[in-house]
Formats: sequence, structure tokens, C-alpha cells
Amino acid sequence: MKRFLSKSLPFLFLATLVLLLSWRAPGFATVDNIGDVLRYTAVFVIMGVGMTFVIVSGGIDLSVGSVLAFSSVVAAWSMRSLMPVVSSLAGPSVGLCVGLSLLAGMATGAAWGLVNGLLITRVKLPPFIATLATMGMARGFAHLLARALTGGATTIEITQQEFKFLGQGFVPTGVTILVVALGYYMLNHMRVGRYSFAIGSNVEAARYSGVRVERYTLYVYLLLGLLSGLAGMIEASMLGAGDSTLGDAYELRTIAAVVIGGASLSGGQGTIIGTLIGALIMGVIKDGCILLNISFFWQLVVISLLIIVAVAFDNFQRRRTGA
Amino acid sequence: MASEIRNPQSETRNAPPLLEMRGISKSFPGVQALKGVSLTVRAGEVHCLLGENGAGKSTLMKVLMGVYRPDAGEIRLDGRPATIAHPRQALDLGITMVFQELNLIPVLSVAENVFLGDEPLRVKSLGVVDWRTLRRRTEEVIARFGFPLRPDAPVGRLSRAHQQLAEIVKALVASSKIVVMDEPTSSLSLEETKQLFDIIRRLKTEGVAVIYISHRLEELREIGDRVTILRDGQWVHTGDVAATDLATMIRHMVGRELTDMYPKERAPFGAERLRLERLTCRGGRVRNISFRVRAGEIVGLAGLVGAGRTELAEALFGVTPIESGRVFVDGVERRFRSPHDAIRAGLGLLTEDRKRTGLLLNLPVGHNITVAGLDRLMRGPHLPLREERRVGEDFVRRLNIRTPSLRQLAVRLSGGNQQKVVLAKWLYAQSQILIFDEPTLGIDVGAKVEVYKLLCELARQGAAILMISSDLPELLAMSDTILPMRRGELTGRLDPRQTSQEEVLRHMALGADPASHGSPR
Repeated sequence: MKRFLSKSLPFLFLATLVLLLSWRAPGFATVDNIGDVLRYTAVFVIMGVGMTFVIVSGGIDLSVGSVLAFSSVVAAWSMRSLMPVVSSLAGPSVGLCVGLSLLAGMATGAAWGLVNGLLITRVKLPPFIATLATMGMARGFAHLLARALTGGATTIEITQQEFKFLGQGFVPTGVTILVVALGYYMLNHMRVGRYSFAIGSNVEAARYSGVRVERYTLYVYLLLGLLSGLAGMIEASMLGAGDSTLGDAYELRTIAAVVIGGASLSGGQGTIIGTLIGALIMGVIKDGCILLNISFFWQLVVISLLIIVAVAFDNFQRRRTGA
Repeated sequence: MASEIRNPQSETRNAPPLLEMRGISKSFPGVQALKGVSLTVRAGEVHCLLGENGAGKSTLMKVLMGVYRPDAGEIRLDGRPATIAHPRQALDLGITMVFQELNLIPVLSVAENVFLGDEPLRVKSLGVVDWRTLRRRTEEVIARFGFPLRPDAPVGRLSRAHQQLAEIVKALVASSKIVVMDEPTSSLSLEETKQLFDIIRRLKTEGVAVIYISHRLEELREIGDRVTILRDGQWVHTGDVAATDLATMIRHMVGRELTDMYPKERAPFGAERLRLERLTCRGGRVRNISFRVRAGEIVGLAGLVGAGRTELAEALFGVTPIESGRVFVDGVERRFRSPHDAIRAGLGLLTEDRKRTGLLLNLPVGHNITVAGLDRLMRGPHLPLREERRVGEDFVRRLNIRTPSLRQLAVRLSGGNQQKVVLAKWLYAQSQILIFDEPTLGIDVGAKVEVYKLLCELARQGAAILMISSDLPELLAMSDTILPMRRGELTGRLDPRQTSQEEVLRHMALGADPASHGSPR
């Protein structure tokens, strides 16, 4: 019972928050508003799922926000350069063009994930350092590419309405649900999940037990890169543009969501559902602050406090039962 | 739970005992760890504390060190009641503990570690450290006991044994009256153990009381004065070591008669499963090793700490690269580039250091059991959790692993049960060539016998077993062949039925020397 209570604490907090806001904040409990919250939260949940694997395996990835921006720029660029080619070949097939561009964006994200994974497993850089570097690189390249394409701006607009379907209505939410379901299955019912826990708990013991540590470490960064690319597609789709300034400080929000959801930065601990709830808590707080006209800066303070409370509570729990 | 159970021996001599713990009780959620335990320690004695893992020794010592507050009972020092609420307070009262897992900061020097947290200060309010005094006082203690230590040596560069010495220096500088030593010899070589005992004897002459915890019963006979035995959180026996024979100690610890400490069965050997030809590793830690292990055979690898036995095991298992030489598994030459390769070829390595390389400590017992044999469990890409649970429960029952559930984290189990989890891991992986590196290190007598039984059962089922052990009686009793190793090389091949501890030791320490059978000593 106690175990159950402490495990569902983030959920209870979220439920309380939702009830409180429904009662006090006018306009919170409306379909439109909830839809907004879910749409806004989608990218954090999607990246959070990947980040959960990384954190469970004892790593960290700071580059996700920059990778999101980079892949949005690549997708927009791809739309621009593909449109004339495709329409000249097979008639006006915008759908094909959108599909290819989305794939290109996601592949770009995966490529950055691969770079992270290789830096960590081959060059043996600590994850923090490796992804700090790629965070800067991806952001730099995103700006350079955007500038080269637009002649100095950071935004590459996508005029085709078809590109925007991914960011409309409940599509982002649908994609999120799919990612969460898949992530849950992979973390709990597949080798990659089980090995992520093993690596995060004790790399050496995992290696001595036959886990190919380098390979599976690479996989989790690759997965997160891919999901960051997907998140980039959703953002670009909502915006109707690729933008090299997107995703600023998203890495911190994503990590915060995972940690509030009960994962431990020292590895070996974390759940997909926890991450989902963590991201929702942050989204609801943000929304509540806007509705109640509370300054953005207070929002920062509240979420930061929440991180402290979540981790402190987790430590306290562990110390008490760890006799 | 008051102090109804008392030590029977009367301590009414002229002076009150140095330390008296009376009727100590302590419970944790779900476990009563101590039930009215009493312990009396006199100045200048070595008081051994015995008990199986989980008997309450560590808890009792943590109460003494102020880590835990007892639920009931009292502690008296020199006859005066004392409350110890914090480790700092224990230190101030002259109680120190030399931990099994060393508590030193690797990058700091010996002297810095010795005074860590209690640095002599030059300007008190500013916290300016008086380095000269710190160094001088460390040097004094080192010189007084003739330790082979330099005060400025970074602790991380010292051997385990010398690190242990640094811990002891720490206790001596604090001029402790009571020093608790938890398994101090578990990482020491024979020579180093002897040195440690000399130091303990010196401490005794200075009136220091040593509370000595060890699973190596033979050691207690050598160094102990009195012994207190705990079982299941209760006091069972206190007496003079000289008046208590080994069988009695074991009976008190285990609570039943252990008829056969080493249940060795000899199985007929089958085909050759593992052959090494002139195996040599980089750095010369392992040189020119050749031997073979047949199905059903237990080959014991003897040697002093640093002889290269663990290095050999790791090279064989694909952890470290092999420089030259060949390895044959079931007659086929193999070259393992990782443990993963080795495991696929049917090898398993139970490592010496459970916590570092054996267990996924903060993961559930169930995950630990299946991690090496996950291939067996997988249905395509799918990991069937129900099947996994069934496998786990099966092993918990078969190996008698004491755990409340499969979801219990491995770190929470006692040493013996942790070792059984590691064994279960290799059993589930169906490893046919098993390397056991110190399989009974730091586990209690009862669990040891169970490990031995399992070893024999595995051999009977056709496994080839290479057992590395520093416990000579164990090696002699359990092996079919003994290979002594010294400085990276094999120095002979002995039949345990026709050899003696002395002969094995001679091979370990001096190497094979057929010319001088007169054994110059």
C-alpha cells in the first residue's frame, strides 16, 4: 500500500493540480484548453520517452532542443527543394513531398543521435560533455543552414498546408500516445529496455553478464535522436516553418519531466508513465499560470521547486526503506 | 522487548568493562534485526563477533557507531551510560570502525585521509589547515607501528592491503579505545594478514579493544581472545576462543550440526571442455598458462593475491585481451573479444567482486537472475515477463535464496543470498564452463555449504569448473586438481588427495622446486 502510494504520487499530484485548476482557473476545463495543453506537451512527452531510456541507462542528452531545431530546418529545406523536383516528375504530389521531408527531418534527428552515441561509446566522452558539444554544434549548424537558405533569417516558411497536418487538432496527441505505447513496450518488454536498466544500474556487471554495452548505449541515443527529430517535425508543423531558434531550453524541460516522473539521474530507475505524468504536470502548470495571469518567471520558479521536491522525496523514500 | 536476555558471564571484576551493550533491540520495517543483544568488551582484548550474514552483527556495530538508534537497551562505556547519536560522537568517545568497503578518498594522500573531517587547524575560524601537524602526527603513528606507508602517497595508488593499513592508521591517530574491524582480511594476502595480526597484537598491548568480525573461523582462533555469537538477531553464546572449538562455533552460528562442511562428490570425468595453450596476457600478469578442464572436473587455481588468477579469468572471459596463446572450447579454437562472446560459447564467470561486476545492485533480484540468459527467455523481440517470473521463482526455491520477493533489489540481500543470485544467473544462462573466482568470499558457513553442493551438482551434470580460491581448506576439499599459480605462471599440478596445505602454499609462495624437497624455511 505504501509502495503503491509513493509510486503514484506524481499522478496524484497531477490529478490534484487538474482539479484545483478546474475549480479556480476559468477556462481550464474546456476541450479547447485541454487540447492546447496536450498539443503543447506533446513534444516534451515524445522527447521525454527517449530521454527516459537515456537516463535509465545512466546517461544524459543535452542536445535534444538543438536537434529539434536542426531537423525542423532540414525538413523545411527539403520541402522547398523537393517541391519543384517532385511536381515536375509525378505531377503535383504534395503528399509525397511532405512525407519525404518528414522522413528527412526525422533521419536528421537520428543522425545526431548516432553522433552522440558514437562520441559516447567510441570516443568515450562522458554523455554530458558529448551532448553539450553536439547541442552547440546542432544549434550552430541550424542557424548557418537557415541563414544560407533565407539570406540571413532564422525562419524558413513552409507554405504547403499539407505539411501542417502533423500539428493540427489532436494529431500531435495521437502521435504522442503511439510513442508512449511503443516506448512503454520497449522499456519493459524488449531487450533494449532491459539492457538500459542493466547498463544504468552497473555498467561493469552488465558487461560481465554479456550485455553489449556499447551497442545498446548507441541504440538509446539513436532512439532519442529520432524522437527529437519527430518532435521537431511536430513543432515545424504547428508553426508552418522550420526555425533555427526552436527548442530553446527544451533539454532542461525534458530532463525535468523525466526526473519529476521518478527517474534517477544516476541510472537504473525510471518509467515511461512517470515521464508522461511529469511532462503533463509541467504543461498544466504552464497553462494554469497563463490562465491565472501569473508571470512566466513564477512558472520557472514553481517548476524548479517541483524538481527539488520530487528528487528530495525520492531520496527520502529510498533512505527510509534502504536499511 | 526489554533486556531480559543477559550475558551470563559476570563482569564484576575490580574495573567495569570498557564497553557494555545491554539488551539492544532494533527493528526495521518488517524485520526485527536485533532482539535484546548484549555484548561486553574488555580493554586490551580481541573480541570476535560471529554470526551468519543477517545475524545482526553489522546492525549491532552500526548501533555502536551511532548510525542507528536502538529501540531499546543501553550502552555503557567504562561503566558510565553513554548515548551515541551520531558517528561523530562515537569517534569522540574513542570508537572507530575499519570498514570492509574502504572509506577512503582515492585522490587524497594517506595523511589527508587520516585526518579527513578532523583536520588540525592553524586559524580555527577560517578553517586553515595545519598541514605540518597533520603530516607529523600521521608520520608518528606510521613510525611507531613500522607501517610500510608514506604519508603523502595518494591512497588510490596503494594496494588494497595498504589502503586497509591507512584505515587503521586513521583509527590509531584518533587514539581510539575501541576499534571495530569488519572483515579486515578479506582482501589481504597471507603475508599481509600476518602483518595485520601483528598490528592487532600491538594494539592490545596498548589497551585497545578490538571487535573483530570475520567469516574466516581459522583466523579467529589465531587472533581472538573471546567470541560472541549472534544468530537471527539474538545473542547465543559468549566464551573464550580457546575454550570453544570450531564445531561448536559453527553449531551456534547455524543453529544445527553441520555434519559435512565440504560435501565433495567425485564424478567421472567426461570429454575435455576447455583447453588453454600457452596463454599470455599483455603486461605479463599471466604468462604461458596451459591446462585443460574436463566435463565434471573441478580444477582449483591456488595462488597469493596478485598471482594473476583473476587476470587469467578475465582474459579467458574476453574482458581483457590475450596477447598470445590459444583457447579451445570443446575442441574448437575460440577468441573472445567480449564477455558476450564468451557467454555465447558457454562460459560463465562468477567474479570476485560481487558488487562491482556481479550484480545489478539497484535492480530487482528477478532481473539479475535472467540478465545473462536473456536470449533463452526472449520470444523473438518480446520479453515474456510472466515466464521470467516463473524462472525467477524456480531459482529462488531451488537455491533457497532468502528474499521477500523477486522485486526486492539485489542490494538489500545478504552476501550469501547475493552470491546465490549470481549463481542463479549463470545457471540460467546454462553455462557449461564455469569460472568461479572466490565463490565463498564473505559469505557465511551455511551459504558456503550450499555453494559447495551446487558446485558438485554442476560438475555431476557435466560442467567444467575452474575455481579460484584463497581458502586452502576449501580448495583442497573441493577440487579434483589443484594448479598453484605464482607471478603469472603455473608452478605445478597437484592432486588434492595426495597433497597438503603446506605443499600447496610452498608452490604458491616459492614456485615448484623439485630439487629442494627438504623445504628450506
